Amino acid sequence: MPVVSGTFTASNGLLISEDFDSSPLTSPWYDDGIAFDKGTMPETGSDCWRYSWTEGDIGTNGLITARCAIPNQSEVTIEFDFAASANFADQRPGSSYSAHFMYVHTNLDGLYGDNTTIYLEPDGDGNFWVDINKSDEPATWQEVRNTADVDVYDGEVHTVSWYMKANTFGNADGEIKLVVDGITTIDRTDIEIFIYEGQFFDKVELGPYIIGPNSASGPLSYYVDNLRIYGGTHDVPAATNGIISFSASSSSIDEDEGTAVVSIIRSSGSDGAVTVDVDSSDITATAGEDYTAVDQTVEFADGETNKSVTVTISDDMSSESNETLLLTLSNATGGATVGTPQYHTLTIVDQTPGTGGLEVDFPVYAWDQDTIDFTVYNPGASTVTFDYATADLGSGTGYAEAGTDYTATSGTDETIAAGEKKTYSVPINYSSAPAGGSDAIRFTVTDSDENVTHGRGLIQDVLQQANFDEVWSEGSPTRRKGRVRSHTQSSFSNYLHGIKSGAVWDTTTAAVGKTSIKHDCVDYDNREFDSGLDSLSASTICKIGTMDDGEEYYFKLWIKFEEDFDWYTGYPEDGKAQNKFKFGRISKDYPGAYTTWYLKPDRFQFGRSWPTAADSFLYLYYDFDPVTNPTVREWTEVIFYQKRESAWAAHDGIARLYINGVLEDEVLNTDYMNNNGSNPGTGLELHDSRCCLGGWTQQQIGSDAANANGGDEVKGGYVWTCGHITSQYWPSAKYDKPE
Amino acid sequence: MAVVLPTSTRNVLCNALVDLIDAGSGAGYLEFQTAGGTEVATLPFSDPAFGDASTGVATASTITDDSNATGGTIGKAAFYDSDDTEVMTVGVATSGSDININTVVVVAADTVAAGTLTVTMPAS
Repeated sequence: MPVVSGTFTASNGLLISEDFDSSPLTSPWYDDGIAFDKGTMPETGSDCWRYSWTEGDIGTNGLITARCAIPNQSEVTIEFDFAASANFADQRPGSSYSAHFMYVHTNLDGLYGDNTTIYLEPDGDGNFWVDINKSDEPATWQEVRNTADVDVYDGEVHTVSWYMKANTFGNADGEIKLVVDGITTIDRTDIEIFIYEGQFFDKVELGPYIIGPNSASGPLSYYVDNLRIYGGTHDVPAATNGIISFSASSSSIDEDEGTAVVSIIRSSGSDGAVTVDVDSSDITATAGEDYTAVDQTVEFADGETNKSVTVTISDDMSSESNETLLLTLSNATGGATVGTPQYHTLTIVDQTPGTGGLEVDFPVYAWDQDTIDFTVYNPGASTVTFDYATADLGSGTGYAEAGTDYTATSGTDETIAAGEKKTYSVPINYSSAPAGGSDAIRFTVTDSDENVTHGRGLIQDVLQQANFDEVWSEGSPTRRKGRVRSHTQSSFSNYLHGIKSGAVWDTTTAAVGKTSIKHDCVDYDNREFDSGLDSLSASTICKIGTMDDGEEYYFKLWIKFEEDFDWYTGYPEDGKAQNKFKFGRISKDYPGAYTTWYLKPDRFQFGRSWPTAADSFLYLYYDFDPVTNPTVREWTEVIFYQKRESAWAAHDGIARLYINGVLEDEVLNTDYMNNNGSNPGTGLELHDSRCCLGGWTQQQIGSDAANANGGDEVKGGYVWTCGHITSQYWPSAKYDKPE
Repeated sequence: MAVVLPTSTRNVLCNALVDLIDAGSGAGYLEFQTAGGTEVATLPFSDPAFGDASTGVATASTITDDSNATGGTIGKAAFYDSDDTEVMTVGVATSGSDININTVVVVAADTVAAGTLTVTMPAS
């Protein structure tokens, strides 16, 4: 017989593959370190690689992720072989279905197309069923054409298509979950997924592979092999009623221009009336703050090819980085399709105040103050003549209104010398806290050269925490700037009550005002304080608490600052700087006026077996000079959480003030967490008179209560306030002995 | 006793076989097919398709790529003359087959290209 021998190649767009022939991914699978074989990338800039691999086992998920970045790829095929043993019984939904299934999880973030096909073909060894799992369907999906189970039998090819909404990058939307939930006996079944019309394909995840319960009825064996991802081309029929897209993929607008107009075009046909949805999503800009969210339907009349969408920009008058938002076209109707660019990135260019030559500050005042004072500064080298006037920034919630909330104020022909500052007071007329927490007001100066500079003031509520309102009425003590400003917290749910039983903290919902211990900082409320620490001298260490051996401090701070801010902790009883442990630096350039930080040291032990009065502690340290940096005017409260880990003993705590590392004062010596059953203790005082220029006032905000676990009485929390520092703590609750 | 063919005979037989591909008015072609016989890709031979055999081996002349393959999973390959008359069918796989190809999965519009292709008439 003649012998034919040949070698051929198919440049079939193989992007990445792995044939696990030597060790197919059988249950349980483990990371064998295999690097996927990379095919020839279809074009410059494209790449594929093994992205992640999570080991799976019975009852747990395994996950393999291959990631491809393929610009302009119009078709991607994911293919792999799947096999399961006969023990993978028919457990389809509606029968004895249980968690025996496998996800083919294609995360299509950034996919610009909207027509996806899953191609299923058993190759003769068994049938299977496919559940197009819609249970986790994101609300933003446009349409899923096939939602019912699909039966696929030997030798039969099934194609399942649906439309899905293109998604923004980094969004979890757009997943396709192919759930194979009724495997009988299948061997090396090819499952292919074609993705058409995509212009950017992000990644393919094979899994999570939920193996199922650890029981005799579960799948006893299966494997995945021959994972392949192909890229190719696909002819897309031209739209007959036009392709709708943005005219450009990006644009920018100055923050103070008010509105941005983004063009939408209809190409490749204009027959009939069609519509397309336009919506916005935040990238770094925030809807409601930086711009007004867009969610509208744009209509093209028959023959019409150009439309636009208007985005209203908010001029927040603060100096910040440029911010961006994303506009997305979707859901074209009338026979039109959405083309590219489907996304439009709009950059809001910050307009730093002061460009008019004069500078106006951005004061923040409490609503119960008599005035809000704006300071005009002339940074130039010569005297400037200017006019000034207040103005409403808007109406309704979030805006102060002249005549109602404040008295309109203006002046003409004011002069200000070079380097001079002048302050103008605007009367505040509030009788109660502004709805929504704060109202903005504009203060504008116009110099003789018609240069305009805007300032913005903020009139704030100082206490809008409903939970606290119940126990801390507005009149006692009188609200004032520097008082607790707490907002956005709706409840104290999931807060610990200061009771520990067994090895875990009780998750008893704390009573109002009695939250004393928290397991961790997650989901903590956004509680703000204006501490006014700028009133202190330079290089001040304000010690604000002691800690016991084995305890941990969790704290969260909201901070607004204009200087770099260092956090330290350690054992500086001797004032030696080298004993301080620097947690990190909060840069003044950190974006956002208010930033949440969670800092947690591992341990505060420092080699001591039992706590003494000189034990470790956490303290606040700042080494800039607020006196010479008067713009530092907003600080925060620091919330401490104490968690006793192991040791247990009666002991005292002490709060001390250190200035420049030197002990200046011992303010309160407390019977701290005494658990001898007879002395409930008074709690750890986390304030220090030297930190409060106006003197401290203590208020108990929660009632004492019996210990639900039979231990000592649980003490209510206290709030200490002073003119500018508010220190809030709840360490006075008692603990049960750990078991 | 096994049949033993001298080289000259092997050359004649080999040429006779590959010349069948040249039948008809034009060039023959090699068609990759699915296991069920559906076209996956078609690559035209030169005309004549093979050069004269030497030592019982005929080597194919230039084979034109199929730059717009139909696509599918290749299971076999068939040789045809220009009148679509089948000359022979051979196996195709990624390794260990008559014709080896780097992948048997061909996506529509892919390019399938030939490397080497020979027909050998063994001596015995």
